[in-house]
Amino acid sequence: MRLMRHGNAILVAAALFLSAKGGRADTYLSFTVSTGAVTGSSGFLDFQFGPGADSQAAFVQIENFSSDGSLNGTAQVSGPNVGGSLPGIVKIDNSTGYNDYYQPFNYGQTFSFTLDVGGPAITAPNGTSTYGTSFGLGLLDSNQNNILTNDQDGFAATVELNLDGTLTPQVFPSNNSGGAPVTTIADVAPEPGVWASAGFGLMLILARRRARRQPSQPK
Amino acid sequence: MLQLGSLYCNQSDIDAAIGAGGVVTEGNVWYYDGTRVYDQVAGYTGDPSWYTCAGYVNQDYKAWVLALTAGVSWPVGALNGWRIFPHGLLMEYQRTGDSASLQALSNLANYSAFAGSGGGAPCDVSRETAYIIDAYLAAGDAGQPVNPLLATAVNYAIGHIDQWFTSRTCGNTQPFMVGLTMEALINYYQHTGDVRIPPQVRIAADGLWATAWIPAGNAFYYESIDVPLVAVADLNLLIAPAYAWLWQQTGLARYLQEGDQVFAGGVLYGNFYSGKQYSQNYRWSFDYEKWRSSSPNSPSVTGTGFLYSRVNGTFNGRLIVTNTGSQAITGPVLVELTNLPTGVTLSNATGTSAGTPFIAVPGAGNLAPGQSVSVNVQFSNPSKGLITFTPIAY
Repeated sequence: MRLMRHGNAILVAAALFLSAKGGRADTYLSFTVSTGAVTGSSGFLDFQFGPGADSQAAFVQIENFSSDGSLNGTAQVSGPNVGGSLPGIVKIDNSTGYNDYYQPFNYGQTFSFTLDVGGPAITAPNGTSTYGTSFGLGLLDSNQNNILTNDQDGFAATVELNLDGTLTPQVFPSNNSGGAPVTTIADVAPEPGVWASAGFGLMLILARRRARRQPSQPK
Repeated sequence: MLQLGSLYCNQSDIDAAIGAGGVVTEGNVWYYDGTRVYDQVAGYTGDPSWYTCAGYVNQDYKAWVLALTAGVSWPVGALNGWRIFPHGLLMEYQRTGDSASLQALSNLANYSAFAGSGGGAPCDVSRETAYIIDAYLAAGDAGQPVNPLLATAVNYAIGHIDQWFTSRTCGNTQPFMVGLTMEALINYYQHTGDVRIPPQVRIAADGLWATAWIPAGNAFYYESIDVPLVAVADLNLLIAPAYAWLWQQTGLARYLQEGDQVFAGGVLYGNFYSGKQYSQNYRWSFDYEKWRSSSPNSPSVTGTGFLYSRVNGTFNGRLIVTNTGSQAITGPVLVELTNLPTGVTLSNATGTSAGTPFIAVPGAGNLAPGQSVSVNVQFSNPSKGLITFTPIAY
């Protein structure tokens, strides 16, 4: 497990899997966001990936976006290497100081997506960079005010990409009455290659157990 | 040190220089606090016979102070602000329990010429201000109430550094006076942990090195109004300890290199015309040796990425300070953010040091080896460009 947990998270149940491609591979976090408190209203979803002073190269991809709400027009993009569009894959790298995908959105009960975090900072941490990169998810109303969070900076959730390639997710409680969490980072979608590796490992363990059950040869 | 110390440990000479009858000459070991010097020599060498010399000085200095303040309850102008030497009185009181030393110390802190004002704002009373800071603190160390003007005095001293090196409004800068101010402020910082102080000492040390060091003379100039400037190595050791302290605090090699040059220049080229030069050289150079020979603090700074907050209009993240050394870092930890891009400012800075913002790290009062603490940072970054900087933690 390379996922670091933050104490303030209401519910963080995530895991990290390594692919079978050799060395480390991308890390996947599955986000589920409950927006029932604002169902039927319009606003914005904000996806940011911000580096520090000397961060190693990294990217995030927003994949498998799904919602009972609806996208509401063209996203506003900031940063030269922010590409793609929802509900397809959106890729954001950390090559500049401000990398942002800002999507007009009609809120439903929920939305979800998989966050694919990759690049050298994940696959081969260089040990020389002194700043990580931070991913932020913000929910905003039609007046572009942050909602459903008590974070003083307005984010509903953040994920810090640490210097050793681990991730630290943090979920902020809602400022809505009832105090229910609005965001969970609830699952991870491992790559198929990981299942292949895991299956291979399981077979190896079973084979060894069977070998131990064989009677020893007479001396 | 020992040879000259013996030479100036002359009771009759000291008696003739100062006593209840007044000050006859400052060209004697009592000036610059001979009591403190000999007490330190005794402690450094482990030879208690040096306490006898400390006693000679203390007896006469104490007599002078008590004679001038007998029966008074107000500041006495004749107890001149440049002749305030509380450390020796404190050391003798702590070593022997001598109540007269305590009384003299208390009188310095309450009835000397600048005790009622905390020094003064003009840079030409920087020494008087530095000395009264020392007196206030020493009286407190002896269990006396700390004069409430301590904060005023410290503000004055910070103002003097501004006049010398930032606003440059001081008509004449004397580096050894800067050294006395740095000594007093470091002393104050060790008592209070006031986060304003380390950046101020850096401003002073950096300013001196940039403007007053004369490499060919292995010394700082005597005063800035001299034409031509005159290097005076006799005074180097009133300044060198501040560089060793900065090196110990920051681990920055340049302070070690600069401090060594200052110290070596004083040792190699300083002339000892009288006991006065002896005391000015050994007044606090023991602290140079102490800080120079100790391991420096080794705080490293890492951090998170910076995200733009639409709530605050700032880029926010965290700096993480880790003690990578083998000894605990006591006192507050500050991080200076040097070389920020043009237009980028630290919105939640604790203060600035010569225009460079710094931030105090909460909860870093005693940082054990390997331990980390973090502080949130907020940047104003109108261009939304990459925020780069070089952090210096101490």
